Amino acid sequence: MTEIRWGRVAAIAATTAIIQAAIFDVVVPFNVIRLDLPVLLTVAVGFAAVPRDAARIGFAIGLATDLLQFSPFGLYALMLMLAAWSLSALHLRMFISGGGLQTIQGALAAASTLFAVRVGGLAFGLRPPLFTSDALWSMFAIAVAGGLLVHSLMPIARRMLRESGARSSAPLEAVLGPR
Amino acid sequence: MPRPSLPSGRVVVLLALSALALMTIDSRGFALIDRARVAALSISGPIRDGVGFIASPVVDGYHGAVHYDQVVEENAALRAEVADLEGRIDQLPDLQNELDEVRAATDIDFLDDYPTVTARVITDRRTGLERIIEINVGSNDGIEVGFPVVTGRGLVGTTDQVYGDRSTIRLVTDPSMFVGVRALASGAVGVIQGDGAGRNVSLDLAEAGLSDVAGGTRFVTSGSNGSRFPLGIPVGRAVAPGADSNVEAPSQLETSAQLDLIIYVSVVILPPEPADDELPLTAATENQLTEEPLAEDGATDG
Repeated sequence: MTEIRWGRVAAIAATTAIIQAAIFDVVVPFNVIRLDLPVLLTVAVGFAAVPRDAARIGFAIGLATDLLQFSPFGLYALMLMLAAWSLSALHLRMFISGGGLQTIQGALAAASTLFAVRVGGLAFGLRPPLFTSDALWSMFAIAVAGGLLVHSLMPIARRMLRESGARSSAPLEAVLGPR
Repeated sequence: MPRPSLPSGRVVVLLALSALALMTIDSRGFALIDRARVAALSISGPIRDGVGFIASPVVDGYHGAVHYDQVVEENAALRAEVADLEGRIDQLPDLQNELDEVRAATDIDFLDDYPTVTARVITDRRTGLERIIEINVGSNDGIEVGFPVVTGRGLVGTTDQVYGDRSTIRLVTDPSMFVGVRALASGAVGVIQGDGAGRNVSLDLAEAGLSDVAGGTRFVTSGSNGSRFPLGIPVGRAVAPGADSNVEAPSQLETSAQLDLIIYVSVVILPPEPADDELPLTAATENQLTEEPLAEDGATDG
């Protein structure tokens, strides 16, 4: 079993949102290559936590992101929660493997999470680009970032969790038991 | 061996419902959420400034490198534009007459009569879903929500969130933005709606003016009743429909203001809106009020 360290979650989510707003929303080369820290952190949480915890932490990261944006309040919370939960569930069932596949997993997860956020925005009245060349390039960029960075962010994601009892938080160990 | 934790559908449903509830409440203009956002932006402002300052060598280097070509292009474009404008000086009296006619017809004060506050853009964020522009003036400078924001070229948007010494701008390209417009030459009226950052705005013309508008027609704010935009702010030029388009009338407007790179803007200070009980009665309302007792009398008589 794991418990969520809510203090750390709040601090990490707030820091992520602020860094995103201060730097990575401003430095967007070619108006396309935008590093989306909340998305990448959510993917890392999806890989590091069990679905129940991933959903709750994803929701918290989304709420912090929502606070510094003007899209419908709760949109990021909803989409990042669903993304973290889905990735965690998929990670448990399908992606229990290591090595080079980790990069591909991170890339696919980051790109699909960004796409899901944009579809969510479209569903709630915004008009983000979805299939324009710029949109596809930005998906490619976040996929590259996801492949390179997500597994580096997983230690941060794990810091938001505390082991309690005999069971482990890592999905692999949750399936196979403690090694 | 411990069993894996199953995906907790109940937690997900609960969180999803919470998020949907928040979005619903937000869409209805719940003040608490606005205050929370304003507080978050205010509190995080200095922190974001600090982080931005630390990262400024990288950010400035990036802007210098990436925008250098853009500055050179803009310089060339401006030179061409100056030449073009010099050629058009002779046409100015005619255009001025047209604008004067529109103003005279609507009898609404021109923008010159409104005070403005010059502001510098301190943050220009592209979040992936939207574009957020923060300026360095706020309620301390007399700014309120919904004040028009312009550059020398035309309408940029309105003030959206206003707090202390900062405000955010809702761009004219925002999908939630509607502005009444009027064609400068023909007087055809319509409404524009934002279609997302980086895109032209949609133009919905009234039926009567469809045939009078062609590609290149210039539009200004109509200043109609109920609009917070004074008459005559340049909005954009109609984009001619493509050759393969079924419609003849333009359905898009290219904004007059350059929205790609905004550095300085002016916020138009509007007079306070009169309270409902202070609103002047229109002639129609006055007639209605004076006729209603007569009708009641008639009904009683009948």
